[in-house]
Amino acid sequence: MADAERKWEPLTRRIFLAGSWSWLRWAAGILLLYPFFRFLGYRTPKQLRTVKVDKIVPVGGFFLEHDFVLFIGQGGPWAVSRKCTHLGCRLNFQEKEGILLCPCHHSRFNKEGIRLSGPAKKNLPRFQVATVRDGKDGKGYLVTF
Amino acid sequence: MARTEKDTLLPSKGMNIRTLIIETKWGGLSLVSLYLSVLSGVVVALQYDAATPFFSVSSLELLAPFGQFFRSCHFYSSQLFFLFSLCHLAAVILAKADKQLRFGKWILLIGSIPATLLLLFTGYVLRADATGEAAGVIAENITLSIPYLGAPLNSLLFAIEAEGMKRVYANHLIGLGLVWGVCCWDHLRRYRVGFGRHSLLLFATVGLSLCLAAPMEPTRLGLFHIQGPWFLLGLQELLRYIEPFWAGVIFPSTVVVALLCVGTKTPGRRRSLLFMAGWLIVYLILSIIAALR
Repeated sequence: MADAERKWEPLTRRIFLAGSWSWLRWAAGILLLYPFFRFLGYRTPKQLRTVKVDKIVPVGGFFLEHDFVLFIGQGGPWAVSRKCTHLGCRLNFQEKEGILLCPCHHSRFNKEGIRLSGPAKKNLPRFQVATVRDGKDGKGYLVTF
Repeated sequence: MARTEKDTLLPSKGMNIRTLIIETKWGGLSLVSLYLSVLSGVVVALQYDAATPFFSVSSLELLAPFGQFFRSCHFYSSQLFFLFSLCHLAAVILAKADKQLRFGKWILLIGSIPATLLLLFTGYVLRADATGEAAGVIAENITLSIPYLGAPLNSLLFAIEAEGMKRVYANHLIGLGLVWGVCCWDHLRRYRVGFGRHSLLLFATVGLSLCLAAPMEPTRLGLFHIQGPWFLLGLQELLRYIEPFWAGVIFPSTVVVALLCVGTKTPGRRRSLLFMAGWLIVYLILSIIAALR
């Protein structure tokens, strides 16, 4: 009953100022979220990474790295990302079937990184590979991503 | 919710499941498990290094004296805390004790459930084994699928790809605990639960931790199937068929909204309970399918 009566109180200067102060505090709190999320969202600019594979893989073979799989074909080497384009799980190479399989939701990709089946919608990114034949660091492959 | 400890002790009408659920002091069991989880968590945190998470957990497990015991103790007590909290919630709903709470307080208390779930989940992620690593990137990508809010939320909660385990660790250690504390503060300051009253549970948890190591699955060549944490199996299955935003955000949110509506008056309460029952059945079926894969 008392609450109902309070609702119909005339708008005095005191009530107006008190209400405004309360709204101002809420607005200030919400405004502070902007610098907070801008601060959180800052990312150091990413640099290209180059990983060296220190061995010569035979033609038809493959090499599994943390971030990519390196394949060697008749036409030369190529590398595809191991990050599933569905939700980012790390793919593994199923040698018997010649496919990259996601262990989380079972999306499948072929050696070229083209999506075959599963919930993933996009193909896998391919990375640049350079073959090092007689470099000062020995033989191998340089994969840049 | 712990109000039920006193208020919902209904007169016993034969020992059926309903009375058993209502009369058991889940709130106390949950709180004692939380105490143990926090204590063992502090011990584990003294050795854990977020910069090299998997190496750190492996060292803790294999090299540090009693490391396996403390990690197991943290793991099992946290699982029990979550399970007992859910039982406590079920008991409150069954006893209709939620009707004694103001709706605002009910909202706050329900807010503690996602916080608890995230605390448990970030614990899985922090061990950075095959399951943890996969769970982390999945959570990050699901969060990013939320329109507009996805990127800031991910920056706040995970950002694993850009920052590694740094933010997950900060949230596991402080942020989520703080959210949980804010949600439950008013509720818990009225109740005191001593270790002594639940010594059997304490002995059982410590005994279990001594005998059974907490799970850990190293990433290895030829790992073609990863099963997520038991409470996310249904979600993992659903993500095979539905877009991440619908499966990972909307579907779980519906049950939280239904839980919030339980705090309203009938018929909203009844409809919410029916919805939750249906949701739980669907989730259970999905979890069973995922477990059988």
